[in-house]
Amino acid sequence: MANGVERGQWKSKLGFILAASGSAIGLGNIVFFSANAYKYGAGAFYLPYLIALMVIGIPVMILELGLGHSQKAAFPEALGRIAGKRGEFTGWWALINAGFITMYYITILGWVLGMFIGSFGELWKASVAVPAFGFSEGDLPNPYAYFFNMLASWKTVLFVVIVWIANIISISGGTRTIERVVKVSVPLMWLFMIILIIRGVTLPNGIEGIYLLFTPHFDVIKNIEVWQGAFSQMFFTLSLGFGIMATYASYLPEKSDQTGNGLMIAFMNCGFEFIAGLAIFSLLFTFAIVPKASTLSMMFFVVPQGIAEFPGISMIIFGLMFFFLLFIAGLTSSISLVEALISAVIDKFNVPRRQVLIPAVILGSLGSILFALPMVVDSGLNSDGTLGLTLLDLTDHWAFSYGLMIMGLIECVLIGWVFGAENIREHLNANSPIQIHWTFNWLIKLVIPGIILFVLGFSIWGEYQNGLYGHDFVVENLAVANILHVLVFLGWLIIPIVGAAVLTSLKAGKEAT
Amino acid sequence: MARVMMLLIFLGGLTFAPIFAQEAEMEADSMAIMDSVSVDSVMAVVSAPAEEASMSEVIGLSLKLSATYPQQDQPVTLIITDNNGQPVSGAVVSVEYRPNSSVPKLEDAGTTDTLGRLTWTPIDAGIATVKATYGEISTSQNIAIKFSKFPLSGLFIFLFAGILLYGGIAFSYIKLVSQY
Repeated sequence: MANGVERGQWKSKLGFILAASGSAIGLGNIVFFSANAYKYGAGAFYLPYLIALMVIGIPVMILELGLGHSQKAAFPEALGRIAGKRGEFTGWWALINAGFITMYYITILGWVLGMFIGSFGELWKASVAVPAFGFSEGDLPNPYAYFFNMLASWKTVLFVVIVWIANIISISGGTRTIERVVKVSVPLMWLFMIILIIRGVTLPNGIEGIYLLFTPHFDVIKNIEVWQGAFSQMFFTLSLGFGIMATYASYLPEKSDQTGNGLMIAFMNCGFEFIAGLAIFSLLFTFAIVPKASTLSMMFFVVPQGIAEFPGISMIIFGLMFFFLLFIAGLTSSISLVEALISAVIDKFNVPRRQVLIPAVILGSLGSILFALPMVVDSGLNSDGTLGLTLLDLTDHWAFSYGLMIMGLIECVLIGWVFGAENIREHLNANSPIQIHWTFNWLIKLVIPGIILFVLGFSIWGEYQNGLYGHDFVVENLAVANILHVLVFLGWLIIPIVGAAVLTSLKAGKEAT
Repeated sequence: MARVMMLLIFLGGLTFAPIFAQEAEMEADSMAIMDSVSVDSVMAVVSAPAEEASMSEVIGLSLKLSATYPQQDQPVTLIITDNNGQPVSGAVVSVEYRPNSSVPKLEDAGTTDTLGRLTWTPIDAGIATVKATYGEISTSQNIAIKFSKFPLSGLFIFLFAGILLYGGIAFSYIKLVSQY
């Protein structure tokens, strides 16, 4: 590191695998897969899901790892090296889009922290009133009442700041500190999940829940929405399109196998979802709970509603365990999101890590606080309730549902057509005992872009058919609703484009080593 | 026997029974849960004002089942009463299997007799919502219906997905380790 800043390197292969799988396994893996499986024909959903894993999940995962490893740089720099300024611009656009997601993801983690604290007792008490929303005592079961009371208070701001500080501490030493965190948290995640599964299947008729999870209703297979759901789920669950995998792979030594790594991370992620389904479905069946296809309602209402029925102290123990599991799963994902951003800034401007961390925590906390704003804009809860939650829902709609897919599409086009899929395949095969077939090139160049275009087109068609945001998004104050819609959409559209243009045009620092 | 084998396969031979020896209590508790507010009904409360009784003689309905966990293809008795515990005759009962999914199935279960009773045989297993309507008043509750027989197709999918995913982990692990 003569003139530059040292990039750091994973100390062990295990450290990298744990960090990358910890990144992929997040809040969605624990609850969202189960919600989707229930919605889309239970066992029958595995068919499109596994096809999506093979056709889109594993190839794009390997592609992102190969990009980061071959270019030894974070996402914008890596794309810049293979596709010039337009590549770098795309990389920054992706990271700013991921920045929106990071901010609200950390807000959600703040709420998880609040629910974890509540699990010590308050969360399980008899239903309380929710004055901010006009609900009297007994109107809502307590997991709901506790959550909405928390949402309508300023203490969530404190939780958000705590989570940001935890993130910054975790990445303060780069790969060194990330490895330390994931070596403890990822095995704990698996352990807690196994305990929850055992608890689930030992509930009265819990095993019937597992029959329910796997028994197929094949009539859904002809439903195009199920395939769209499976392909989107695969993209999101593997953390693709964020630039995280490219960043993490850039810290690997010269001779390392990205094909094997990609397979390992993808299978571990989906394997975790697979066993999480066992725990969730046994709970759903035992307590006859109808799941909602939303991560938030599954995390904060549906599962806690089941745990609230556990007898005696086990309610507190398993409640704490569930929210702690959510917290560490979310933390290992959020540190990868923050690291992808920090690493890109370090690579571009060649500044020491500590100089980037303080501005990052301040900017990030401010952004996350925006999504935690407790002012009630919809006391009827027709849409979301507080200003923060409403902003979160709107931002998630664009940044998550569209942003990641758009990035995946551009990434495939840039690597497939501009850099050359064959070049990346040669790099991957040179370092791996698993040789990738030449059909991979056409998968990257044609098939995956085609699938992403189909999913995006289907989503846009759905908006046209069913109304924007897929449901009747009506808040009490229509003027406020319209302003929020426009502001969030324009913010999502303009900020990443302007930000990416500015960052691309700025002069780079001295070469990093 | 098949159920025991299934349990062993799922758990890999592990049991946790000594720690959670409160099954009987849970069975009893779950009946109470049936009567408690469901997620859907909460959302109904959240999104719309509660339905008001329009018939002077009946204010509010209550729905009870003779079994905590009805079983597919096995008859079960539904009892509909009003808020005073009096049986409601002529209440129309419908069932929605797999509510809130892309494969719901609706069934018209029938009408209650003079004792407020209705014998109904679930045609499908899984989670269902039973709704009783009398005039403009209605009540609903989620129930979990047990499978009548061991679902072999489910076992096949479980094994297929499990072997693929965990076999994939083992395969990539072996390949990664073999390099060094």
